[in-house]
Amino acid sequence: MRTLRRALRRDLVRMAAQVATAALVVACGVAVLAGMFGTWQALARAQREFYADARFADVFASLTRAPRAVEATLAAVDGVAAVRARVAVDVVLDVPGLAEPASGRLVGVRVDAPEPLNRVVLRAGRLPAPRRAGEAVASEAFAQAHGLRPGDAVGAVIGGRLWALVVVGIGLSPEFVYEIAPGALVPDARHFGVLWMDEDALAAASGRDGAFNDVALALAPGARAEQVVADVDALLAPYGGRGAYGRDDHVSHRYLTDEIAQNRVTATWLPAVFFAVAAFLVAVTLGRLVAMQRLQIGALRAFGYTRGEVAAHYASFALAIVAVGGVAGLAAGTGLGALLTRLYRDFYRFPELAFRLDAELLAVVAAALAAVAVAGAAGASARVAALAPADAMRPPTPPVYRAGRLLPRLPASARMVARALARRPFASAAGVAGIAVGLALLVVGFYFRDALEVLLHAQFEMARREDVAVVFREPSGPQALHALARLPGVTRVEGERAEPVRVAAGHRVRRTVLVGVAPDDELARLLDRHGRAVPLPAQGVLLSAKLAEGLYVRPGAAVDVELLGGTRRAGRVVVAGLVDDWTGLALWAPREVVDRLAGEGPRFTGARLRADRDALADLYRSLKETPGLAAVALREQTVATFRAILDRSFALSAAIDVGFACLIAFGLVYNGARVALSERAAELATLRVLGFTRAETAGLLLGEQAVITLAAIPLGMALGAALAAWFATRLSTELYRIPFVVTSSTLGLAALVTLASAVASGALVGWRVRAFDLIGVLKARE
Amino acid sequence: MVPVLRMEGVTRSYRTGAGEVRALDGVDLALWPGEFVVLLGPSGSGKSTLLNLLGGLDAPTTGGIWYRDHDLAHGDDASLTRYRREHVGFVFQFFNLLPSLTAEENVALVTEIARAPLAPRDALALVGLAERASHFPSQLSGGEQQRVAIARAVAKRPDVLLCDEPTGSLDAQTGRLVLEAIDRVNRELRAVTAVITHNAAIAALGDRVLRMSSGRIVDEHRNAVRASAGTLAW
Ligand SMILES: Nc1ncnc2c1ncn2[C@@H]1O[C@H](COP(=O)(O)OP(=O)(O)OP(=O)(O)O)[C@@H](O)[C@H]1O
Ligand SMILES: [Mg+2]
Repeated sequence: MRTLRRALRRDLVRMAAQVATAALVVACGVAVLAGMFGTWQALARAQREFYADARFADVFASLTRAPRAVEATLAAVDGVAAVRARVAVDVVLDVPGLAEPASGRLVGVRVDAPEPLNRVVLRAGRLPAPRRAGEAVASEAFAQAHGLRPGDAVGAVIGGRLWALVVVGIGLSPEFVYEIAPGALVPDARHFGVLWMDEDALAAASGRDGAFNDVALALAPGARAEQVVADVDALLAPYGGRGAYGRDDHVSHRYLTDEIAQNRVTATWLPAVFFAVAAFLVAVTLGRLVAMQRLQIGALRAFGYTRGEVAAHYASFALAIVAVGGVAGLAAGTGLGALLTRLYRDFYRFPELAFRLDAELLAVVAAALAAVAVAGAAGASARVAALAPADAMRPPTPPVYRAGRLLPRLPASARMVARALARRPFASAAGVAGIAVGLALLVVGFYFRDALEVLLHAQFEMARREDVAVVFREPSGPQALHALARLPGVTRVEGERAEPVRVAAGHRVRRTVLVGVAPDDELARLLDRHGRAVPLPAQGVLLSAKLAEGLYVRPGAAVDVELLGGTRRAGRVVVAGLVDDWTGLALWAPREVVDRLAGEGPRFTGARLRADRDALADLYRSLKETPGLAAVALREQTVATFRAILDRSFALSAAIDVGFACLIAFGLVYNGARVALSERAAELATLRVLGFTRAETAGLLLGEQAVITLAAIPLGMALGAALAAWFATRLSTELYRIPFVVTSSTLGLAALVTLASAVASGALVGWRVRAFDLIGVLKARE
Repeated sequence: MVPVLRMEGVTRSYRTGAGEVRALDGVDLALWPGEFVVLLGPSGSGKSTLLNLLGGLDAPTTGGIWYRDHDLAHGDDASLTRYRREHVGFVFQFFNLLPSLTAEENVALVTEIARAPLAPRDALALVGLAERASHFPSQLSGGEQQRVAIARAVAKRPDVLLCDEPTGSLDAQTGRLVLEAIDRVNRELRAVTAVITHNAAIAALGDRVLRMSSGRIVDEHRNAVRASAGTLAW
């Protein structure tokens, strides 16, 4: 057997280029699998551990104000294991070194006793001293975005008074793993942060002594979340409860969980594509080897090597490819995993998020490799085993070609190409499919960029056109708008009234907001999917199309709207139209309609401002000191953050996508051309002897691959567009939507990249025709 | 004395698209210890088919074949493989060397699975190629390749040596060298040897000459003296 192994080694070396191509594709599959699966594992593990260690709550609720004593009532609710009632307020922050105002969420934290739920994990410094209102723990993302260290101070307007909060610690909480401002599209740590303050001090400063306005609850084992949510809801209703909700509606949890789920899907199908291509390459390479060595195989069998021994010999060829690719892929995958987890650390904040090459991951990789080896070697090994030893005595039969009816009309060279394709329909089809999939990957990669560009445009240029959006700490009358209008540089003010509501159609229910707007609003426009304004009806409401989808209603149907918080008034309204918005689920109605529903008004919960560009700096400065604001959002800054994230994440993934697509196209074309070359060397050399030029001969050799590549291009474009459409539907959640756009430049670029790699590998093989040893080729019997 | 190989009423038919081809049509044959048999006959007369059956590469449609007391006609793949592994040496018209192995390694391929083989070098020495041991097939001439194939066939000290047109692809000069090697192996190792050829001149080398036609042995004659390969007129 030793000598047989030596023959194997030499065959591997002799077919090094093909072996390397197949091994490289295996390596890519393993790298993607190890990197992505490992990242998925890391995220899932980090979530599990952080939630357990920091005791992440199961049910959440916010309310206007309730006395402390209500906490005990909540604790007595059936199915509740633990309760944490606290104060949490949204404020405008003045961060040193930041010209514009930022928004912050101040959360009360117990400093004298351990928190029962949602514990803050300190990364640096300490908790605030008891009853010291001037101290805070800053969230890690926010602190890092501003280079805040213990000792630095941040200005905050709390309860009408400007405080200088000294950062005494840096912390993390399971509630804010994904720290995103309410209603924002992407996290922006420069303009939104969480600060934890001593519970009592925060209550006193915000005028809530002896009261709370936020509550988190843990479920007892076996308790049903929906039941507890309903009970807590009923209990808090008299205190302005805005509706309790479970983890599914918790923003950070939802984003994180969706991301993990998405990762799992990508970590499965993307490597699967590579493994399918790799198995195909192994099968083709090995199949060619077996065909070439038919006489040798017969001879081995004639000498008394068993079926199994000979089949195993060829199977180990596949094993060698897979092993080499596996080792290289694991090394690359470890790097990719480390890179991906590092990227994730900027967006998802855990005490520990680390990529680990553990036994489970290795087992998954090993299983995938085994599948590739089996799929790649099965066909050839079976053929080897089935080969009758008597065949070794006979010269090989020439391949069977079919004449075909249409062919006689084509020139002889085209006929040769057509017959070569038809002789191996499976291999030809698989080649087309493989290249098409590579191209489709590229289209999908580019699609995400296109989609987010469209989203950016649709959201921040078409729909939202204010310079600044503010949220009031409390619903206010028209005088609040007048005050805003007097701020420096403000040229237009539009007020809105956003009320938390529960909207229901039959048994389908959503917690969302009802926004009261004016028909002549310019700064926030309600648009349909074609970018046309949807007229605000005098009667009835407009629904976010996603909300209508979730509630299974169409224009004309009625929905029940219950105002949460405050009066809890309810009414039935008709759906007058749909709005294709990009984030969240909302309802819109004329503000007067909302006032009427609430039974009080006119009231505003926030406003949008347009300002002179030149006066923006002054406006920002004044906003930092304006009392009564809970949050400030700056369109320009949001767009800049969005774009930065886009550029950073997409530069890497575009490079990876292009690399992968090139490799697949290159590998398949190279492999196919090498097989054709080795099979048809004698034929091609004969043509050269007959007087064909090198170019003509190379053309005949590569014609087959050219046809395969050209057939794959439209197919790949269609497949890419279909995949993009699928992603657009899959990724359109109730949190945000991603548009479906496939631009001609995306298709063109993807086709170009594929074509270029195919041409490059064709040229590489075509080069060999130049160097043909005519006599040598003709002398060889095969 | 008992024959080493024995065939009784053997037929072998092939089913093809055009109907049934009877490659062998009732063959009785016995090969005796140490005997050198030459098979002659026109193309398509069934020589290769006969040799394949003797070598356990194929099974007859009807009739019986025995190697000593082993039934080759009804053996399964495993037992036929064992028979070939332990007792048979093959030389093919097209050499069938592994191009990725040197001459010596090609021989080692067989000695590694044999019970009491010659050393690969000694087997090569037997065919006069000891100095070319580390050459790859592509670095050897056709005749040299065929002699490596013979060394490979005899290295296991086979009881049966079967050669299908061993000189078919060679010129007279090299053909003579190859035949000399076979002749020598037959004499020194006492292996029953069957050689197929189209060249009637080679018939003089054998103890016995069988002539085949249309799947039957139509003529048999015994040489009083075996010629030596060096003196053959080609
Ligand atoms: N696998 C097969 N399928 C169909 N017919 C076959 C097959 N193998 C051999 N034959 C037929 O059996 C007959 C005998 O073939 P065989 O190879 O034994 O002839 P041969 O005497 O060795 O001829 P040659 O001198 O040309 O090698 C021929 O007619 C041949 O066509
Ligand atoms: Mg023959």
